[in-house]
Amino acid sequence: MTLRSICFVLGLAGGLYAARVGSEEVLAPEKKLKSGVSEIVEILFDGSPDASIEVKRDKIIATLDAKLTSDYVIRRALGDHWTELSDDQQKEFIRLITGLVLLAYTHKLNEEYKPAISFDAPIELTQFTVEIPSTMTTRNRQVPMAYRMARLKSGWEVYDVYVRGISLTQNYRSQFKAFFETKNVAELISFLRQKLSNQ
Amino acid sequence: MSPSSFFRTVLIGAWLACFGLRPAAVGAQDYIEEEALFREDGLNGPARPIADPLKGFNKKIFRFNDHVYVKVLKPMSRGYENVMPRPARRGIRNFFSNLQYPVRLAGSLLQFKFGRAGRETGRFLINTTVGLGGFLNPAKKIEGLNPPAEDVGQALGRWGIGHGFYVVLPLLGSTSLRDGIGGLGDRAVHPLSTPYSRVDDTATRIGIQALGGVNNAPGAISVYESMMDSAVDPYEAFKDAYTQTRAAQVEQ
Repeated sequence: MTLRSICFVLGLAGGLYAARVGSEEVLAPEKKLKSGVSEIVEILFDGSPDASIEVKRDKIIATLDAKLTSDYVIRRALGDHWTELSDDQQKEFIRLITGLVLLAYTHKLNEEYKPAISFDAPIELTQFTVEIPSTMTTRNRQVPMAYRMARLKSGWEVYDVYVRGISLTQNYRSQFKAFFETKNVAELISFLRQKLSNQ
Repeated sequence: MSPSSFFRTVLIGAWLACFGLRPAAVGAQDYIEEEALFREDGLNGPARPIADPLKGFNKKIFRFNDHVYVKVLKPMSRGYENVMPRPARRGIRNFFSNLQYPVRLAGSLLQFKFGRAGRETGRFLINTTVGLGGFLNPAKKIEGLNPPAEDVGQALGRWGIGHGFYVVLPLLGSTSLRDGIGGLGDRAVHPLSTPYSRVDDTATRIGIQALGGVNNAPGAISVYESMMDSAVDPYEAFKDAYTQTRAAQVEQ
């Protein structure tokens, strides 16, 4: 698993989870982010003998399920089509995309060293949005990441994650846009189910 | 109103204004509405679409490349990983990165980034001498000697030249008309690329270049497979990743 792969997992899973950690409290965005990302890293790099890749994936998905009530990165990627989904479909959609990313990026997890993650001071983008730059380092290689967070009524939420300058929201949005040129949302869910079961 | 009461009123008014107890501040919204996050309102930066008039052809090349990467390059890179120890692979990667110096220098100079060009030169000199011909990377530990990579395509982008259109090249993958032209400029200054190669013997030159390609393959294949597996539409995923990456590099 490359450093970039870890970034991708942390970007999606860690970032989303971070948005929910202690959402009842009025935490500073960087504090929330650090807490969420470090928890996901602990799960990903749990060295105990019974912590297989499958167990770790299930643990992360269970953690996300327990803490996640909404997922702005994925919702924003889907755009207007989000409202075409029922509540159950929305939940399933988030689980499918998260599962897809975790499956794709954790298959060689045992080969990688635990990364060191540092966070820089938040940069104010607008009155209620910030960007928190972050660097992930392992074996002398560094990957820049950035988390964009917005202050919503419910608290600070991650709404986009950048890995080496690539926005996850924008990348998935472009894929969904191409998909919807010939297919609909129900077909997308069915496609994701099929793809996940094949992996 | 007497002068003293007027003065007192002004003072109280000034105090209230300074400490923000104005009635207008009461109940002011201190958060962004959820709906605002779902609008194309600049929160995520402007979309950067790229024209794709060759889409049908590009997709065929994309499928061809996928076949070559998975069926040929992947087994080859696994074999290479087994025989070449990790420190040696890192050394070879450093060596080829050091050889890219003229490309990065040209890219910096064409953008009038003279400070960056100076830092590039400093890194090259240190890595070539102290770093034993570039196999080691001692400059990495020196603050300020690790500027982001530049190339001629980025310089063209900096000059305001757009991508033109998207192209998928056999084996090499994503590029654009602008970056393809920039790539010709890169080749002109790269010490191993024709027509101005510093290595005259064709077989030797191709052998060295092949070593660089195979050495990078394990990491590249791993990233490639993960992107393919996590994609809903792999072709669009790679196209978007390419345009976002290049846009970020041009803006640096």
